[in-house]
Amino acid sequence: MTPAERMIMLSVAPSVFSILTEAPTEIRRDTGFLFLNAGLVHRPGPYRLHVELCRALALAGYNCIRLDQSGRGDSERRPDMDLLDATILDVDAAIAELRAAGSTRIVMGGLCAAADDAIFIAPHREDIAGLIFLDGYVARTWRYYLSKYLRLASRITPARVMKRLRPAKKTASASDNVDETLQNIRNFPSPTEGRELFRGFIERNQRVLSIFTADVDEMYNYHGQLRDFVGHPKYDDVITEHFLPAGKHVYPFVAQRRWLINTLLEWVADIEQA
Amino acid sequence: MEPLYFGTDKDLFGLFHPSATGSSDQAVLVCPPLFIEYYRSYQVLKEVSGELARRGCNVLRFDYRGTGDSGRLLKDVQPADWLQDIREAVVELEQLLGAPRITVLSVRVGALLAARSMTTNSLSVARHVCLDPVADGAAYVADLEQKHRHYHDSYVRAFSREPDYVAHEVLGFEFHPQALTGLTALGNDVAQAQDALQVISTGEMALPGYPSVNVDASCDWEVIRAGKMLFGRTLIDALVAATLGE
Repeated sequence: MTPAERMIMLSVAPSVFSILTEAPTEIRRDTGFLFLNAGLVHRPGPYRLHVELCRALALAGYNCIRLDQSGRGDSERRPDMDLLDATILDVDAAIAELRAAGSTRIVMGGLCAAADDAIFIAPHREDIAGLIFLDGYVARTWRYYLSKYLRLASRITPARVMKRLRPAKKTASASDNVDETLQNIRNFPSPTEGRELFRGFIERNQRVLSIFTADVDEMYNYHGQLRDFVGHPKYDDVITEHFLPAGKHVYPFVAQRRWLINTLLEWVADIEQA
Repeated sequence: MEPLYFGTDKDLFGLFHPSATGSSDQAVLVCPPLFIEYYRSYQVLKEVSGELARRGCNVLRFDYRGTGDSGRLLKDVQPADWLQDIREAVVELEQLLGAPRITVLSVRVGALLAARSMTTNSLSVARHVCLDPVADGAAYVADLEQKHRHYHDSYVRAFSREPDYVAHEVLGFEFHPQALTGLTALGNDVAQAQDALQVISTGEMALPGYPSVNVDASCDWEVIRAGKMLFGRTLIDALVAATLGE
């Protein structure tokens, strides 16, 4: 079964596209989801991630919107605003549509740049009950460096040393790292600001689901790193942290996407009960 | 740009760029590629469509069923459904505009799907412009499977473990059990409609034995990771010019 979907041109500007996936009225729950653009990928998300998430969540009772923020996908950029300011207005309008569809509690965020935008927007909105950060922001801790260098040391062999001494051949299709194009549009807080942002989420009881994959090992490499970085006694009450040490950034495997859907459903059920 | 749902079941998602001049004579139907190539080419096709509309064409872009924002899951559709989707898109253009002169602009396997749909459904299409067309269904499937093996091998090297696949999963997409057979069966129809065919080649995948207009742009269709987008004025201008018959 496919839930009902309709395109909504957001009132904030004539060319900001969103798609509302509506939960059947008889099972509709209070929480609605807003997924921002995963980097430069338009609203279906990489491997149709947002489509799969929105339809699965809607069938479980949650209205969802997937959005093309101003300047991304099919939405035109507003020349008079920077991207984050335009996104703030886009989010305002999208949340208004979720409320009009019957959602009273809002969860927002998403993958990569979506998490980056959400982390800055959420502190200014008391109506954001939850946040989804997929490979979102974290700062390196001392244990990150320890883990990194211990792993490197364990891999030292004569063959690897010789390989490192040879000039590197770079092939785009062989790289497993986060794409450099996406890196260019990521916008991180400073460590001090980042810590304060997460502590603010805890103080305001804005629940966070933060999932890291192996593809961001330049900033995260052990489960609990976000907890160590934030350092708050109520961390576990508000923030759920997962690490997929064999997971890929854009969720390119069906099983990985199914795991994400199930994890989201469990997490939001918890929010609904709170 | 106007979003619409069309087709018999109203589950085909499309974006219609009406002509800036108000003309209803000329229409362009964009038949996109599939899978990773769909994402890579999306922004270029959006820019091309906008430019064509400014130059007087009415343009319909759409997502095949099981892809993008259209209905259905990929595992529930077969290539024969995509041939039908192209027919529905032509019908939609005729309903919107009357009797426009339709040019199909296709990319990669979109060219093979479009050519086969034109033949199967006797579509009234005046011209077919295709970028780096996939010439043969069997070769395309072999290419997909080779890319899948490459990605699999790189994952195993990186993580020393096998990925968890579901049945009929290729390059991260869950296919219908008969999808690859269906793609193979598309044959090599692209070259059949030679009179109305214009091939644009970036030099990577020319149509064998058929002359093409070469464009100095690299599409790097070998990239198998989502997130890398095609951009480039040269490519956009070449596609616009070819579609307008300049």
